Amino acid sequence: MFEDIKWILDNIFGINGDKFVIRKNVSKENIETCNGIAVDDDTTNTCALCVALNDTVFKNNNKPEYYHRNCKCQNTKYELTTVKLDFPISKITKYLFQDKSKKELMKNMGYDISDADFIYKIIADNAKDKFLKGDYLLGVLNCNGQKVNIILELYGKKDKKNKLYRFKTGWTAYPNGCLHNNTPFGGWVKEQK
Amino acid sequence: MKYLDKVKIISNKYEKDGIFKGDVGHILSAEIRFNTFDFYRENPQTKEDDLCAAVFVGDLELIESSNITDSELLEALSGHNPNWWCKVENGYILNLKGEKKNKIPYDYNS
Repeated sequence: MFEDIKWILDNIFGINGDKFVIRKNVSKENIETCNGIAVDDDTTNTCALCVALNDTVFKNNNKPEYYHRNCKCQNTKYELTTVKLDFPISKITKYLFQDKSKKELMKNMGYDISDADFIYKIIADNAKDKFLKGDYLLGVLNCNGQKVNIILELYGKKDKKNKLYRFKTGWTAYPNGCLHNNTPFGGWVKEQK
Repeated sequence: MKYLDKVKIISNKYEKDGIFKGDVGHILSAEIRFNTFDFYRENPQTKEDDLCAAVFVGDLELIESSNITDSELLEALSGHNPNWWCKVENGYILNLKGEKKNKIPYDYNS
């Protein structure tokens, strides 16, 4: 109990700003469950956005601030030590290196399909590392969840090997500190090094 | 229509998201939620996936089909759950078990 009071006080005074918190409401549903049917949870009167945010984990000073009248969501401290990814390799092999425009972007950086495993690993490792450090940007929140952008720095290959590229990778926050990949290429970061 | 397909917006309902009728992009999440796909616009100049919106399946037109297999689609679904609605074919929303969500073709709320 005293620990909880300390947490609340620390929170008020901003001491826990850079700690992870988990958002919870009374619904058992979250963006990953619903048995294939994403809906408002009528049994607990929980709206679609609160279902989408249920069980998500963010830094306390960089979390979605979506609340509404009679909102039953609460943030409590959470120990996040590992970030899990929902990132099928098909996003790289069947999209980044297959879609004509994206393939061209990768080619301009010196990469082709033979680099798929390397690109997958560097995007995955970067996302895990940066999310744990709180180095992410919040994006749109809709019924498909809270979007999160994470910047990747990647040196080119072949004749572009000395050029550093900076671009966003796009994710959705899934429960318990998991990130679901949306796009491996969410746009250039404007200031190029 | 399904995950990773290239699609075009045929409605002006998404202008508040910066996405206009005629914009082209991709379906980048496998699940259909609330009869919508998670659409990412491809910036016509830079080719970035720069804007996203939950787009009603009836507001999308297929441009180019991805060659993703059902097993790859299953892998991409949340919890690898085949119950998720995830395809639109001949006016029906389907799951990987072949079940139809809507009763009347092209009336996705039926």
